[in-house]
Amino acid sequence: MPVSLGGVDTLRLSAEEASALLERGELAPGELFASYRAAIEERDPELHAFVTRVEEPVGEGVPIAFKDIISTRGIRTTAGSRMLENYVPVFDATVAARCRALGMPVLGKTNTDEFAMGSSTENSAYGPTRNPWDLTRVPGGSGGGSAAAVAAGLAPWALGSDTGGSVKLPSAFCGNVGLRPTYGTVSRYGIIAFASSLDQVGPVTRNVRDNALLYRIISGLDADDSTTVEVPAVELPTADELRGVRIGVPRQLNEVAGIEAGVRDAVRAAIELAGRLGAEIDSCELPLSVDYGLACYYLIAPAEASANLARYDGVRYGLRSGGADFEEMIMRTRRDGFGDEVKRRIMLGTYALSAGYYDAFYGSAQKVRTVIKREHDALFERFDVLVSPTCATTAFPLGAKAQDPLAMYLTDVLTIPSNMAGLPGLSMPCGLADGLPVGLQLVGRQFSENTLFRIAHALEQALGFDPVPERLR
Amino acid sequence: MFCRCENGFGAEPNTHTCPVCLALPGALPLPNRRAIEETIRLGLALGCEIAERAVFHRKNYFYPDLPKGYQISQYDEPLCRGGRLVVPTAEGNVEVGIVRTHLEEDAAKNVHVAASGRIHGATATLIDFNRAGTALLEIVSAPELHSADHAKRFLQLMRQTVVELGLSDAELEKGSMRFDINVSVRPVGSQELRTRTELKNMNSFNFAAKGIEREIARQIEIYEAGGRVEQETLHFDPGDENSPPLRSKEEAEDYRYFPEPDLVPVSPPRELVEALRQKPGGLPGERIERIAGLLSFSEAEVLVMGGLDRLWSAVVEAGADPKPAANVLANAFLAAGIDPASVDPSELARLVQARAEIPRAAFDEALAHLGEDGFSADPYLERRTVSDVGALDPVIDAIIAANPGQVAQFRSGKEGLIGFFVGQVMKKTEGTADPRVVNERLRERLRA
Repeated sequence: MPVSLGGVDTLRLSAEEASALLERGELAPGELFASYRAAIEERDPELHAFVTRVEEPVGEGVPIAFKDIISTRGIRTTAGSRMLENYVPVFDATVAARCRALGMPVLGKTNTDEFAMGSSTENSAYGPTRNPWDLTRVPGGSGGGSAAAVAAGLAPWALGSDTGGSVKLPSAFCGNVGLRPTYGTVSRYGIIAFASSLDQVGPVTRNVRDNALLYRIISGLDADDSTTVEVPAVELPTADELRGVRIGVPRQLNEVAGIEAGVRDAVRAAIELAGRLGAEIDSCELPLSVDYGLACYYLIAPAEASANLARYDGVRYGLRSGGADFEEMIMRTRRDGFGDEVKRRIMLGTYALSAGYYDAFYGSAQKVRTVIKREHDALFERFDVLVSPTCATTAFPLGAKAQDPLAMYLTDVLTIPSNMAGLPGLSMPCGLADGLPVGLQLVGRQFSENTLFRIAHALEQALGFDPVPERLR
Repeated sequence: MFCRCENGFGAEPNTHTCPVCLALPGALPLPNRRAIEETIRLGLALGCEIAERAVFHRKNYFYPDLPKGYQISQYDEPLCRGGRLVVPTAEGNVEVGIVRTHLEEDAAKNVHVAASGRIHGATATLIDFNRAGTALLEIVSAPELHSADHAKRFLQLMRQTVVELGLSDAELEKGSMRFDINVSVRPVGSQELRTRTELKNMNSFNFAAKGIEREIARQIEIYEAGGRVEQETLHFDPGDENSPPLRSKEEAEDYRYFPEPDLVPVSPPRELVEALRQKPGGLPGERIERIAGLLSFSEAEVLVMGGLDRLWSAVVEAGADPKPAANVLANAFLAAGIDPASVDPSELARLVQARAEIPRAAFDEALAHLGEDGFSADPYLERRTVSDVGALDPVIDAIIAANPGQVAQFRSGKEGLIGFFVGQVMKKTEGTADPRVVNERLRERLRA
């Protein structure tokens, strides 16, 4: 463990190691927190991973950063929006409360696309976050802040939220391990809602074991969220081989249009490596899920968002723009408070739910969702896990898709199908393409997080990927 | 309905709130198990089918008193569907279909304020969120009520049913029961349902009946003048039933209903449903019917609606005659405001049976103490009425001697003055005299 004068090497220290150092008394909690504070001071100005930083540690555990969509009592929570610029929650989200109950001090709130709507973190009202591997590129979104913070050693681990891929995609772009858990395993209480039937909080970490550790902390039944369920005990993975594991390689995901050669090669190499570790590998088909997943997602998610964001009316909290009466006040408030992408999705969603369109849009999309789920279920009779790239490309340059919403939406085409089916998905780095990390996506059955951790851990050991961005080594 | 706040009626504004009912970002609704069970109980009492799977929906619209910008309600999969309430009337039973019974959450309360303190010219709106999120049970009846009187009886019976089931105090003044009444008219013999208007947020039975009558008359007048009734909503000022209603055109509002993703569907286990089922014959409507066989319909109605029929049955069982027992309960009892549960029926039965033999004052006094612990009728029954002429005559003579003026008037034909004399005698005897004997003796002596 490289412990330098004045603190620890935050780029290399895992959360598990940090926890052990604290436990053995080899590191003072204040010193650990201060090391991350120093890293933030040094590198956040160029990255802008944080929207709000916390100066003083509360608790003596391993520090953590939260995506700014997670309510934190007493710490400003903006959702990346002008609407909540001065909003300080009076309660902790359940996931935040569980971390804080273990004494984990909050380092700060990380940047996000406004209300988690975006794939590049460029839709934040507080400016974009940059990718620690290449400052001219995006970190992915919507949770680009958490991913960049973990990759650049500004936090040992962080929480994100994943609706269409907002944990998995930024983890892929920044070289982290990111888990989108099974829907219902992690409480959404206190998570600023985007699309309630899809939103799920997940850990962003530098390795697989840290990810399992953090998932163990945040998951489980919550009396405040009636959609949560009991979760099987989370096991810390130790496996270094994959004998008996059946891996499916869905053709439609692995040969998606526009896939970059470097991405394809890195993913292929990882799959071959899995075979050498003893896994059985076979190709398979997911025709409907990929063809219709994205389209249905962009009906369901905006529809739910249009209702979830109705509460921002200037009446009780958040921004209020003046007006002569309620109508004028609410119109001005929402005009001034929401950015373009949020307005676009509210309009899409409102339209999809409107009388005369409901059956054609929202209603059909929900039916297709069932079809997508069945298509996945059928594959899980033959396979333990489905693998593919997390994204067809590596991190793209800032501004490259900012003016083209459809191109931006397509970024999530590989992460959305399993999200629509409520399945767990994990993104892990499997190599570099032109100096940028490539994400490998592992999708499992419902509640099969332990299996995902096990497979990911064995691959991680064999791949030997160095998660520290080359320019920071 | 969806949070753990206390019901804050009458409390300081905004003191019974939480992240859920204020719709703070990230707060999630939690279904209230009791509200769901109570709804099922009412549904069963109304003979509804209890859904195997009920779904909450979001009803979307913007209003300052609607914190989330949507109301959690039930749409096409309500908890209870199809039932009926039998409303006994003097002319026979009226059967009213119940289309559905569902649960939703209440909105907050807007208070419009102006420097003058009046609604008119209000310059600001204050919002009290205490009520926001309170469980609201909506009962939708079929268009099967054909007069204001029947509608009123239906509402009263529904209230009594809800109160007896313990679902709500259903107090109209507190707003814990309100009705929206849809009114349309049609030619006699016709079966069509014409355009309706809606009387919104009514909170008094009489007011509702009056409103319906006024609306019926208005619609008939329009049709007879060759006009057309327009679909609209009429808002009444609950403080002033004579003020004309505010009209608002029914906007083609699109509520964009969709299933509430924050709540899982409710699937009440069948054993729970069975456990919530009432024994037959126990509902107020059924009891009115049964009792009306022994009394007049209106007596039966008064007893049941006043929550007195069970005591009445017990008193009759203890040996009282049905009619007098009903009279005593309906008149003296209701006025005295005694809690029927605190009364010993056998003691009351003794009083009822002896009411002609004891002084009126003793009877009234006994009623006043009826609700007390260990009440016994004995001391009151001992106070027998004085009807002995030998005892009464001296008193009567003294009154006649003391009032020569009135005596002269009586003798010149003002016979109504007899009441004055009886009153004087009763006063003198402290209410113990038998009024019938006093009356007879007085007339004899005055004519002499």
